[in-house]
Amino acid sequence: MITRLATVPPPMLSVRRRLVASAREWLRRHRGDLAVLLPVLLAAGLVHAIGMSAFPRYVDDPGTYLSQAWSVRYQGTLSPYSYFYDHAPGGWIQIAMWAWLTDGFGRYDTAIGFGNEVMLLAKLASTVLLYTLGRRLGFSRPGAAAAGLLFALCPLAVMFGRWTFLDNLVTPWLLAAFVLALSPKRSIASATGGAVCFAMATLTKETALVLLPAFAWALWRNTDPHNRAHSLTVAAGAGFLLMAMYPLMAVYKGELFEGPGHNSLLGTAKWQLVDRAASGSLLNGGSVMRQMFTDWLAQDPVLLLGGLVSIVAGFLVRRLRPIALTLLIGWLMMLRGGYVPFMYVIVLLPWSALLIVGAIEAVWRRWPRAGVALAAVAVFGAALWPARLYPMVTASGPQPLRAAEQWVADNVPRDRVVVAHDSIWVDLVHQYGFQPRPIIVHKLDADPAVRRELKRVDYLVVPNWYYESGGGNYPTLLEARKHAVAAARFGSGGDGVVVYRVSEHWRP
Amino acid sequence: MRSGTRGQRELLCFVTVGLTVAAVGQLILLSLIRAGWEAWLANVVQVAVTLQLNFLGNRHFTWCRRLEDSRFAGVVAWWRFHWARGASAVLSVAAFPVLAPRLGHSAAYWVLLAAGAVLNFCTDRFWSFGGGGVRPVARVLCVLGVLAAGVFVAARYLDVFIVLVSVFMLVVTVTTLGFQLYRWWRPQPEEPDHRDLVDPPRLPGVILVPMRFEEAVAGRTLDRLATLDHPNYLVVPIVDHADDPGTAGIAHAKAREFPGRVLVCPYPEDIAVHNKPIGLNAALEYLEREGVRFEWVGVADAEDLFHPDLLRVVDHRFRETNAAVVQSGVQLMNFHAHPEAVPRGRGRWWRANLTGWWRAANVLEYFKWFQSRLKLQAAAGVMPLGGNTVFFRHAFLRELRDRYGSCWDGGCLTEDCKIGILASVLGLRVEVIYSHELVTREETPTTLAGLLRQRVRWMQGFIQVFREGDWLSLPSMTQRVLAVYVLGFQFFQAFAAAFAPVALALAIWHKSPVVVTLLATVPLGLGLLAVALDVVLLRQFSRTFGIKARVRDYFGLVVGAYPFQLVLSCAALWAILRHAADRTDWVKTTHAGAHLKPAVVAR
Repeated sequence: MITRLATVPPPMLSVRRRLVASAREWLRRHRGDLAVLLPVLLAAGLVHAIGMSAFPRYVDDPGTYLSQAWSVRYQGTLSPYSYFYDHAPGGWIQIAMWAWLTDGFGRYDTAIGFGNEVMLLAKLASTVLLYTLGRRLGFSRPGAAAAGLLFALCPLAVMFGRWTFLDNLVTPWLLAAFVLALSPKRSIASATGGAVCFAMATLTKETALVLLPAFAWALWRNTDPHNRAHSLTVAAGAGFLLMAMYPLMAVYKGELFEGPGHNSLLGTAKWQLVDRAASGSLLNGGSVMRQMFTDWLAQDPVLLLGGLVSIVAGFLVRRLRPIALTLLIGWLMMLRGGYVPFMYVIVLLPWSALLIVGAIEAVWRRWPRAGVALAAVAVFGAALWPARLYPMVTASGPQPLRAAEQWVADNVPRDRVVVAHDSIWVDLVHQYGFQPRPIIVHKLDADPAVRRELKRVDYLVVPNWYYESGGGNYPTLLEARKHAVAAARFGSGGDGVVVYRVSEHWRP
Repeated sequence: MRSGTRGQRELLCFVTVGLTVAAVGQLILLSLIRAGWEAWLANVVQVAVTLQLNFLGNRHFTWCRRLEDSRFAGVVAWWRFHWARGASAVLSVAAFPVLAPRLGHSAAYWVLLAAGAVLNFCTDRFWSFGGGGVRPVARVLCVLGVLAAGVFVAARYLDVFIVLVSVFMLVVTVTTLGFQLYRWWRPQPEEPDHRDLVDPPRLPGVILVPMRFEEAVAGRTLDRLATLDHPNYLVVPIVDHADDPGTAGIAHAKAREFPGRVLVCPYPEDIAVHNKPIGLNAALEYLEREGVRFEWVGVADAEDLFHPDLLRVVDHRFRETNAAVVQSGVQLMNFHAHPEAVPRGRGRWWRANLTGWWRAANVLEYFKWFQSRLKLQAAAGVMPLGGNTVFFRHAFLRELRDRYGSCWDGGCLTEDCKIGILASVLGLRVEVIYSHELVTREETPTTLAGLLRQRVRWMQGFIQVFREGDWLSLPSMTQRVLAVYVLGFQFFQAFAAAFAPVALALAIWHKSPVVVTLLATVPLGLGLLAVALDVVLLRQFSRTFGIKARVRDYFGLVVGAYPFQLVLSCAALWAILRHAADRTDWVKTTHAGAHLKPAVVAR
């Protein structure tokens, strides 16, 4: 009798078989996309990776972030010096996690080399996500691939993408946030995933927060009335909770508010927003901002200006509007007149690539001839790129700082006090075991704890530009050089490095 | 005198077995180390081997005479032995860093060894090999002792404890959120309108209505049940003529009023205990004896007003899916108490409004349970059912009787949960209907104490079902894990929600590392998110059912969220202690009170 009753479908297959089956199904559904995407990824990876150790020159920030990642990995602290809330720590914690999983600092003989690897991964992830986002915005496969290529091959993106900057880690998180927010399933999980990715972007670099209106708009538009309230509540709650970890950390350490004798989140935030030397507005001809912008354009005007023009078109096409808003916010930030760092351009590039392709496809659909013409203009503009990319992929020879590091390792006893540039600090500590630890040059005068414990200085290993342009910020460094003799020279000009041996009779 | 010599023999054997096994263990350890094994691996192997030797030695040597006359299976003794030895080992390891600085290392070692031996002897003697005859008082003391030991270990390793508990709470809160949102996980419209069902109902059925001291509502309920839209069904009130002539009189009057529709079934006179499962079993046998032909059996409570179209939908669902069970939604309605529904007296308005906090939470529990969790559980094949508005195939009930002797378990406090688990064990299909129009509308318990009692009964019933272990025969591992989760859920959630702020406070007070404190913050944050979600759901509830939710209702919901969890936690603790003390007499106590405070009629 009982056999007449329906039974539950046989309880789920084993986990492994289900995974294999769903992977196969996924591959079958996405093979067209994969066929288009893989060549794009290959091109992106090759152009990014070939020559990345020799170009571009060493700058300050990568060394700083890598020293902080090293500190997370090996000391369990957020910085080798006292952490002063310069940025949310998510970015270098991610680098440290990757180092921990793969023994990153052990695999390379320079920390910068490891940083380059992380940036390569970020570039590849960003390219995949850019392609996916393009498809979710309704682009054709060639269109999405073109957006990926624009982003991956633009000389400006290659150059800035190679430096170990937090902004390069923000890009994949932001793109992932939009990809999930525009998920066709419209499930609570995708909305929540999007919000969590956005929160990760802000924890990687807090500046991503200015894009919140655009992200929220994209998320809102893609929700369905049947589960909108639930999706948005859970997404907002989860995203907010993750973001709140940063200020909560400050609260638990007793460092939220300014006070004597400790760093504080709000104190640093005030400095970043109000007190830090403003870069001026882009509209102001003589401003620092304008100078930076000119430098960017010198690398490549196509993507940047093409994106600017496409903002207008983006607002006219319904599904592109949140993307257009994202890029618009990015441009408005340059008009505001506050402090803008020189790597700021990174945030504009992926959205420009998307909008350019989106605008061309939109025109193409309505007026095919005009679309062809626009595409031709874009291709013509991009034809300038190979000439600019050539020196980037063919650069060779060690960087002056790297050569100086090698010299110090070979010639300086390990117990000497070395004042070193950020980029080589991790190597001197991790590879060569200098003890006492070298002092990062910009902590020499900025960190009270370093000042207190400074008894002597034996060597200075810093690029020349520190003595030339930035000298005002480094009085102790300049004073030490007055009592030093040059022991070795590498390269010339501002990027050149002179290793100074300081007189043992001089006391800071 | 005989027991004295037996005790001496056991003590001697225990010490001999202990020393012998210790010596053997030492030899094993030395030879493994000499063979070049890693120290930790050698230690683990040695511990595992000596534990088994110890068990075998004591089982067949020390306690053999006690076990001769015991019905106790070796497996139970093995499990108890390992739990007890594990606990004493953990306690010793935890106590060592406390004692060592005071007594010196070697003294602490020997003291702990001796204490451990005494403890092991006692647990062996009274628990592991004690033959199961543990008195309730001892069991309650055991529960309290385990709690105290837990608190001691936790206080000793507070950071580790906070991390473990936070991860556990995180898992519970995330799964709770996920499960209660299952219905809205992807955008999907409401269930198709039942008015679109055009095919006529065909399967004959019966609705069983256990009634006891329900004079206030019986007539109304039977009126409604007798006039549902279905051509071929019987309403069967189950009444106790000797005990409750009032209700019996009403039932017989209705039977005369609706001949061929209402059939009164007597509660068995020879059974002193009164409970629902016994009545249901008796009614089923009575109907079969009377030769009534029916395909399905529905269960209604005395105050349940079924929707007139419900039977048509159930009938259709039975035929369409051939399911063994169809569960339809039950929904509490009064998320705020109207002053007129509160007993007369001073401060009625206040008393009505001050109960809103737990009523709203209770109403939303049903809203989430029947829309989301039941559907998820039906899909996963692990299914505790609700107590009413549930319909069984007659064939399924006969199968249960053939296998287990009765359909509903008369000894179980939550027979509805158990019968659902049994359906899952048999691999049968359970269907869930939740349509806002068709739900059976009920009201929250009249007082908070009533809610607390109800919860203690449910939780104790779930412990019973868990201990009986039918869920162990579920077909797949995933289902068994899910069954543990489903049966333990009320306890996990009560603990997680109530403990979240405490964990954070502990972390801050103990100045734990910032990472630990941040981790301890996450469950609390998710708890706040759950409250926000409750606000969204209350709004949705009030729109769906057209009952206006006022600002004070939302306010009560938010402010009362944590106290409500505390009430549930109290209920959980109480249920565990009652279970340990072997007190399963709920049914009598609740029903003794029931006629003094007649349930408010559902409208």
